[in-house]
Amino acid sequence: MTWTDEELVARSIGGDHDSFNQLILRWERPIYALAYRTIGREEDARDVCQETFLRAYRALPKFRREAKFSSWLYRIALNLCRDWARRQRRTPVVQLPEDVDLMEMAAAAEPSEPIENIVARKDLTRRVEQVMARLPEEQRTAIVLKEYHGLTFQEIADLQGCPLSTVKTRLYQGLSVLRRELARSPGRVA
Amino acid sequence: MMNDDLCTYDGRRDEVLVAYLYDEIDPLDRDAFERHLPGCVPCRTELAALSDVRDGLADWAEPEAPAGVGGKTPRTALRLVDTSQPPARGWRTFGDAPVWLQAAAAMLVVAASLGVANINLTYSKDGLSITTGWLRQASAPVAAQAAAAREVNPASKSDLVSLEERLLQEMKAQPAAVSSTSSDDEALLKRVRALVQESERRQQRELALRVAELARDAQTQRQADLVRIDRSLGLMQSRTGVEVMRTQQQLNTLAQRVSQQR
Repeated sequence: MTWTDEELVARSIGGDHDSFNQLILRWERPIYALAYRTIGREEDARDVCQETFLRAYRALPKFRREAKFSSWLYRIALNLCRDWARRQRRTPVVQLPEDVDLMEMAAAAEPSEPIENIVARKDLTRRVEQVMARLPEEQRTAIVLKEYHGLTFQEIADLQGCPLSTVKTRLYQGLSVLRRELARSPGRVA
Repeated sequence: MMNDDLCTYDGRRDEVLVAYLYDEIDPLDRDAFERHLPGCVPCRTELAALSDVRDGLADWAEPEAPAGVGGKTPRTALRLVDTSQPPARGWRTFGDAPVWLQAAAAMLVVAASLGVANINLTYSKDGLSITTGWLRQASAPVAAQAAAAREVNPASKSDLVSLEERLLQEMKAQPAAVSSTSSDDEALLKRVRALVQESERRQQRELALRVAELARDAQTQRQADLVRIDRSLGLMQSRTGVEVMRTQQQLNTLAQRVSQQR
C-alpha cells in the first residue's frame, strides 16, 4: 500500500520511524538535485540533503498540515542552501557529473558520434552550469525549481516568499541572461 | 500596423511571455498573446530563443544520486534506526571526528604499517638503526630481560594486588565505552577506506578529463594540419600547372623558330 506524504508524516509524528524512512526514500533524490543545482558542489549538496531531513525530522511535530510536505522540505533545503552560500561567500563551483566517464569516451575506438560533437555537448552543459552559477540566487533558484522540479509559479512564490509576478520576472531575467551568455559560446542556443 | 522591431504588447509582456513559455498562463492572457504573436517579430524571436535556452538547460545532466537512492533503503546516514533515541548527528567526514580520535587512528595506522613491515627502530651509541623483515635475529632472551626489569623496578606483592584491584574497578566502570570504541574504530576505518576510494575516483575523473581534452586538442590539430596540407597541395598543383604552361609556351616558341629557320 502506498501512503501519501501527509499520511506518512502523521505516522512519523506518531513514532513510526519506518514511515519517515519512506519519506526520505521518496524525497531524497529531488532534494539532493535541488541542492546540487543550487550550490553546485556534490559533497556540500549531500550534506545539505542530509541536514534537510535531519531538520525536518526534528521539526516534524511543528509541521503545519495546511502546507504540502514537499514544499516544506524544499523550504528547509533552500534555507540551508542560502546559509551555505552565506558561509562560503563565493561563486559556486560546479563539478563534472560523476556519471560522465570521459576516459571511456575518449578511449573508445569507434565512438558512436564524433568526439568533437561529444565534447561540444559537454562544453554546452558546462557553459550552462557556469552561467547558472553566476546568476543571482533568486533567479537561479526560480529556474531550478521550475525547470527541474516542475513547481508552479505559485509554489515557487510561496517558497521564495515573493509575489507571483516577481517569480515570472525572475524567470524571465534569468532565462534572458542564459540566452545572452550561451549565444556567446559556440553552441546551438542563439 | 505592427512594427517589426518594436513589441506593442502591454506592460506585463515579459510576465505573459514567461507564462506562455511554461504553458502556465491565464486563458484570457493566452488568447490575447496568441492574437498578438503572429504580428510581432520580437516576441516570436524571443519565445523561440528562450525555448532553445530551456533545451540547453535540459542537457544539464542529472547529478549523481547519493548512495542508497533508488534502492530499498535510504542512505545509511539518513536512515532512522534507533527508535528510542532522537536522531543523532554523526560524523560526516573523517575531519569531523574528535581530534583525539583522529590522532589515535593515525597512530593505529602507523603502528599497523610498522607491524606489517616488521620494522624495528633502535637507537644506540652507533646512532639510529632501522631493520625490516621477519628474518632478523631474536633479541635477548626473555628471561634475561625479565631479570633486568626486576632489578630496575622491583615491586612488592601488595603493590601488585592493589594495582590489579584498581584496574578491575576501572574496567568495570567503563565497559560500554570499550565496546563503543571498538565499533567506532571499525566505522572510522570504513570511512577512511571510503575516503581513499573517493579520492581515487576523483583522480580518475580528472585524468579522464585531461585525456578527453588532449584527444580534442589532437583532433583539432589534425584537422588544422589536414587543411594546411590541402592548401599546400592546391598551391603546388597551381604552381605545377603554371610551370607546365611555361614549358609548353617555350616548346611552342622553339617549334616556331625551328620552322622559320627551315
